[in-house]
Amino acid sequence: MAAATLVVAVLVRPGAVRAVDPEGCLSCHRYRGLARIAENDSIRLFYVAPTYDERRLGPHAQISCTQCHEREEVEMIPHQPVTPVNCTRACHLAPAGQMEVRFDHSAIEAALQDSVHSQEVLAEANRLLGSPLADGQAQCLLCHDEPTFRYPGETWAAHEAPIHRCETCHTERLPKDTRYYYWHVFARSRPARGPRELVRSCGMCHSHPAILEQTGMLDATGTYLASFHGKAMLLGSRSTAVCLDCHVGDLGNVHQMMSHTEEGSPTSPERLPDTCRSAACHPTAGHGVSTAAVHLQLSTSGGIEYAIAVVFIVLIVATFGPSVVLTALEMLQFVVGRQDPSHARHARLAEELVRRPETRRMLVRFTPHQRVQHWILVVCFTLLVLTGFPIKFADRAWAGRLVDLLGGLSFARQLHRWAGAVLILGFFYHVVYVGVTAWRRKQRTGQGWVRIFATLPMVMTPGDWKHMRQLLAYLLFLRKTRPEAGRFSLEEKFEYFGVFWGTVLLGATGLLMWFHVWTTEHLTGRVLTIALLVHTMEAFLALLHVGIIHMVAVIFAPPVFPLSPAMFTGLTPPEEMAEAHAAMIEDAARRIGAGPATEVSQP
Amino acid sequence: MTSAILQVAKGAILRAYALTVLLVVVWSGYAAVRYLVRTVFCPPQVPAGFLDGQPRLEAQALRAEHVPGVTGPAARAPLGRYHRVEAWFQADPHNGCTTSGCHAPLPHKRSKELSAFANLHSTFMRCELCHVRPSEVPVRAVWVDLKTGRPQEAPAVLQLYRLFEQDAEGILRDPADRHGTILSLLDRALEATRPSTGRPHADPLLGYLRTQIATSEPGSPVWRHSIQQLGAALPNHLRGEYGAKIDVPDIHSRRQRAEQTRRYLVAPAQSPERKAALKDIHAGIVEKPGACLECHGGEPPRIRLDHLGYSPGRIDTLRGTPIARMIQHVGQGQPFYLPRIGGAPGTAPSETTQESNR
Repeated sequence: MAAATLVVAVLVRPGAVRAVDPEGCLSCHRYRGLARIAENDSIRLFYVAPTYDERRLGPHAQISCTQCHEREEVEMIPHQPVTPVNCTRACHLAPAGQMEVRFDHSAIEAALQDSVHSQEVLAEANRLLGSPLADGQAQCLLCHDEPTFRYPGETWAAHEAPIHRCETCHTERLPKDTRYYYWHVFARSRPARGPRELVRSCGMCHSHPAILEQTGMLDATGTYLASFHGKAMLLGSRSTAVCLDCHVGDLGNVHQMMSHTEEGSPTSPERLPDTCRSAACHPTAGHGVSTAAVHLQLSTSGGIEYAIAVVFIVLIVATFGPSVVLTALEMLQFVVGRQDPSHARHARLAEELVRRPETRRMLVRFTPHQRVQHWILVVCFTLLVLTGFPIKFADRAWAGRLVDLLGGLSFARQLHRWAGAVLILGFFYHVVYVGVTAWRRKQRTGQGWVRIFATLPMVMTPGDWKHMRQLLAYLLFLRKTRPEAGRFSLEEKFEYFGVFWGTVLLGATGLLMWFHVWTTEHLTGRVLTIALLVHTMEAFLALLHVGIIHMVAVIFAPPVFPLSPAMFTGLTPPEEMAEAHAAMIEDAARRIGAGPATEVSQP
Repeated sequence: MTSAILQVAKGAILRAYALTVLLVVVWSGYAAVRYLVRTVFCPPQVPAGFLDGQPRLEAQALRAEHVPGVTGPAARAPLGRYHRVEAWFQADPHNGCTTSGCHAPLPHKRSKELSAFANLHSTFMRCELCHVRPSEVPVRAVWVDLKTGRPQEAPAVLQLYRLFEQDAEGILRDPADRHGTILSLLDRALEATRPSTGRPHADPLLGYLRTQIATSEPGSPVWRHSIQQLGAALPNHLRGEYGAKIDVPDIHSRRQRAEQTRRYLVAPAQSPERKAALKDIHAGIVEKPGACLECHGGEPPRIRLDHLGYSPGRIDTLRGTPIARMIQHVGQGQPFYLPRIGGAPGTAPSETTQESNR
């Protein structure tokens, strides 16, 4: 019986709770439902998680309840109304195997008073927040709750093994509170809060509408999260800058934070370059790095960034808008069942021409070189979209999942950069190809360079615009027959032009950001802001065109669904040829002697 | 004929498909441009859900599906609260008293001093258990699943605790034999807390210990250490996060009350029908049950805790003298004092304190 009692005592130890709770407060307060609804419909929750003390999850796990709560006020059950806890009150710490020491936070109170977060400011913030702090409650609670050692949540259990290793020696013979010591050292080797938690903590005030309205401040959290650093933080980067990295700096104290307008503040214009170039952040960056925007609000910035953004909006509406209209009108023809009268004849003709080896090559629209270039573009573009757009939309849940799937933010970034580098190489391949093609044509025809380039197949001509007018008239039911387009339609030439200059723009801005140290040394940080803006806007424009217009044209349009084989074989399907390249069919038929009115005779 | 029908069907499918593509193109084009315009001309907004902290804990949060810091984890405690809270509340969608909107999920509020004690029970007991006059004592009570509302066996964590308490010797002597049972109960205990937190392991400590126990050889040092830690941790999990509540299995009166509640809710305000329905609903309801001692020390006990899966040790604690005495004191309006273990510097224990400690 005695043995059984001993075993029970070892296995089931309710006393373990009492060891860190000498008054037994947790006997009641560990129940989750210990709460009531107050007159103002707020919940008065008296639950205290016993795990905090028992597992030593924070620095305050060493102190008993009555070190903070006045014993005389809480020793009677049921408790009478109690005085709010005063965080500056001295407490008695009794570490295992050591003498009891007294400690208090009064130094912090003094430091705060000289900072931007003085008592008056915090009191006003509390008022604007709707007075979540009752009268007399410590203002500390606006920023702090129960301090936990960092990563107390799901990952703390992973640290049990090193604690057990410590306990090999630190037993009764060499008593130390190993759990507490381990966590304290581990936690204090980094900021007390994780990046996300820290930004959230600041955001409670710095994104609160009433506070922003009263103070006229920018939404600091919103602008930060839209910035490069903010997006990296959202995607799980633990090394990116969060609020305190800039606003406190290396040698500062969070309780002595100053406004950026004050001299000596790490975010003041004089000190900001040093803050950015601190050893932990961008030590190799140029002095100009500090001009890169972290809290950019385009709508009120009024600078060149705003102008660029507006230009892009106009550009997107002016280019993407008509493309959407054209695609929608094309689909409308299928919805109403409308077809050009000569469509069937052109389709049959194209089928015949493709069937005969001697005429087949006349309908080839893409040469092997062009197809290789296109596939380089396809692979790089896909990788760039997959690795770039999660960063643009970092605040969406899918972005985080996609980045995780890609192996984390760091790998995604590297992949993005190298895919971009390959795309640039592919672009040079294309430029050389065009140059060689033009040179050969010059050799063959003896025409001048201007004429040669003006008649390259992808260059827009006045005839294309005339064709476009006629096509619009047809699609709007103002004309009975569809105009016949040649090898490349105006829409395709337009897409080509978009890809050409988009690659230049994306490549240049991408390189500026990739080699940001060089940029900040030889240019300014603001160039990085502008490069990021242009890169993002242009990428978005490219995605819209490729993801919507081009995808519909080569995958989802009824004549080509499920996929146009043009980039595999060089040949467009007869149905699509008849629809969009009838002039090419007619031209081929003419060249082999079959007139436009007649069909190729059966072999 | 058949080919004509097929031709028509093919045409219809083609048109429907083209219409879908058209709508997708127009909608995505519109959405993309709207997004861009917003990013340029409107100030950046904090993403929804990012600042999930509660300025304060509002009663309405108890009725919401998911509120960080109430039914799930939160980055920090609500402003003005020091102690961290994660998931402390499990909604009971089958409790007509609260789902009708008549009573709050933490219903006791009349006495500022005592209501929290009463509400403490509402996380694992249905209202009827205390507030319906019993036809027999002990009351035939069962556990009901919070999700389904159906009777279930005792919560796994209670069973686990009982196993540790009653079969501690067996666990250490024959670990391989008990390993499967422990693991299975631990899994179910974790599952019971999962809905409220949505994490893979609702409780990090239990989740960690589950992994340690599952991946170690029964009886090995790691296994024994983890079992020992589990034994120490279990008392902290007997505090209302069972995913179940104790209820009186009277289906007939429950259905009747549901019908009466429906009549009450559809009747016009102040109408005689409404008043009659209200009276019917509360027929047999004891407003102030005063039944605390019936469970906590009284004889015969109002409910058979052993039938509900409580272990003898736990029953002794719940029905033991200190709790009963505390309830008696508090119920009679007399204060009960904290024990002064070690004593605070400079203060002497009062007479009442000595009395309570005796």
